[in-house]
Amino acid sequence: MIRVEGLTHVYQTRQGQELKAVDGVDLNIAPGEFVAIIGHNGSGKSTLAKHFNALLTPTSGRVWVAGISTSDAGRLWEIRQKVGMVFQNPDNQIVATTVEEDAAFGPENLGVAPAEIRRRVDEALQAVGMEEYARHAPHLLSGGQKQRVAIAGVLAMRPACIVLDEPTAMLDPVGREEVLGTIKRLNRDEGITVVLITHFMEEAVEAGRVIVMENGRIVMDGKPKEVFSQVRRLKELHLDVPPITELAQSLAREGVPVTPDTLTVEEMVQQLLGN
Amino acid sequence: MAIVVKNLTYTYMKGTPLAATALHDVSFTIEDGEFVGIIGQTGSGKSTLIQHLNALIRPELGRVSVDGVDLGARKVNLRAIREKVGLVFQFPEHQVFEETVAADTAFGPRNLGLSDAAVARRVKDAIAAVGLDYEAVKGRSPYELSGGQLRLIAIAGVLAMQPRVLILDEPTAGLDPRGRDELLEKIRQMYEELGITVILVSHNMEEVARMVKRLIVMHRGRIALDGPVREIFRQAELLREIGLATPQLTQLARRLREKGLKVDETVFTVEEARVEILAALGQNQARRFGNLG
Ligand SMILES: Nc1ncnc2c1ncn2[C@@H]1O[C@H](COP(=O)(O)OP(=O)(O)OP(=O)(O)O)[C@@H](O)[C@H]1O
Ligand SMILES: Nc1ncnc2c1ncn2[C@@H]1O[C@H](COP(=O)(O)OP(=O)(O)OP(=O)(O)O)[C@@H](O)[C@H]1O
Ligand SMILES: [Mg+2]
Ligand SMILES: [Mg+2]
Repeated sequence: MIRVEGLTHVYQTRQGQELKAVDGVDLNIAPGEFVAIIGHNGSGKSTLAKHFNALLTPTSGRVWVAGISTSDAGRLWEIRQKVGMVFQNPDNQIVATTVEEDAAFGPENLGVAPAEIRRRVDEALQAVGMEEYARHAPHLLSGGQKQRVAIAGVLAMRPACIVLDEPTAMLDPVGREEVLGTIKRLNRDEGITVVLITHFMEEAVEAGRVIVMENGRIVMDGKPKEVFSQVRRLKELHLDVPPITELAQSLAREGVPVTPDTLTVEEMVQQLLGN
Repeated sequence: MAIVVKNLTYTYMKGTPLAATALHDVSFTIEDGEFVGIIGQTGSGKSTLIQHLNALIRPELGRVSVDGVDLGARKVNLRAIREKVGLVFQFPEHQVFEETVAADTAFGPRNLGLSDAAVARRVKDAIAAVGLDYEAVKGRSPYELSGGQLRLIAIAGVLAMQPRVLILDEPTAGLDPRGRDELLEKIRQMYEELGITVILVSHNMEEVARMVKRLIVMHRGRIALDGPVREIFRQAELLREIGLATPQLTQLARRLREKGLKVDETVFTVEEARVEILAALGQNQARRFGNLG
């Protein structure tokens, strides 16, 4: 779905400094994968992700989306149709004066028929629990509500791949579970490729693959259990493991028979008490 | 004295078809030197409530007072209130507007009428306090920062004012785990050393469990619960019903209890959970093997 070869991105700051935000990244994301990207503030996650739908193009190296090079300016539209992006700040995503028009914006631009747009918008708003707010003004919503509307806008486009940059940063715990559930369902049932950038380790464990960035490079790439069993390494990288994993490791040191790669509450209960 | 909110009701877009009552008859008092958490579902009124506390929103119905000053009074000195009560917004983009990071952080202290040297010192200290490298970021535009870095700069701008009451609206959203822990430690340290009042709005249950003593739970514009944090996290069902949760380890303790392991169900930290589980497992072992001894 996404192929990245030798990608480097250098920002030019207004003071004329050069800042290398992504530094020689190679990466292949297959159709249908669910990939989480974690890494400390400023490690280059958003910069990398913006290359996946050609919002940024490489300073050097290349990026292909479904076989199309993102440097091919003539095919920008095709790329944006394939890869939908939810930004880190939902304010940047709001384009219309009502929530439903906002969600309809993407499909309208794709030339989708009005009846189909209606259906998609209703479905998308329902998926994020915002149907009650269809006629509200998006810029007058609470922080978490805006975040949900931004996600609905991308869902309504039905892209083959969704890139979400910290989509749950401002949601309450149940809202986070719901949005994560929606993402997982789209991935599992509809085969949509998902790239999820997050600072919540409990969310990253739900992905099929976890990529860790540091200083513009990929420093770890593996299954959640492989990545999260390396507590010390993660802590060096300003990251963490879910509290449950940390507890498992400290109990294991005391001789309690639990595995150090325990990731969820249920796994822990099972190991401590069986059924 | 401190902060007194009495029967506060607030409606956005009053008199239009989109009128939304964000606060219904909210009352509470926060004493000087308290550290209070506010949690609540998305849209429950948290941000609306705290914007009343430094008069960004003026009370329409009901009363808000800070140190005895009625924020609804027509001739209230807004500047004095905002010096005393510092508010970090939920969206840093709404707070940061100067051309460079250094100028942005200096904006508040400069308005306090401090000398240039004093302003410069505060700016450096505040940027260091949030864990950023002053020399590396001072000349950059705030929009040339990553999402998390921008949030830290917004926080630095308020810390540089050294307010007596520090209100933070989801300050750790978008911070990496280490950055989050370091920021929270810094806030705790300021709280302890300076004796300030802190109000922390958060969706992170681990974080409030660790930081605050008292927790206010908002639900649909009303206060659903207000009390010591451990008592509140005992009410797992109620919290779930209103869109919230208990910390992950509290959930574990509860599940273990349901299955018969005698652990305290209000553990929050890894250390607390470890001690409780080891003790309970030890007892189980003793009971199981006691007759062999
Ligand atoms: N427009 C820009 N101009 C100059 N430098 C930038 C710009 N945007 C980001 N940077 C810098 O590039 C680096 C990578 O930023 P990026 O936004 O990709 O990080 P991130 O991993 O997404 O961080 P966060 O977790 O805080 O969102 C950072 O050092 C940041 O300061
Ligand atoms: N400027 C506004 N105009 C109209 N309605 C608003 C405005 N701001 C907020 N609201 C509405 O008021 C209610 C409370 O919003 P508020 O921002 O206080 O919630 P919150 O608890 O901070 O939520 P979140 O956790 O999502 O940030 C919501 O239903 C929201 O849609
Ligand atoms: Mg980012
Ligand atoms: Mg809010």
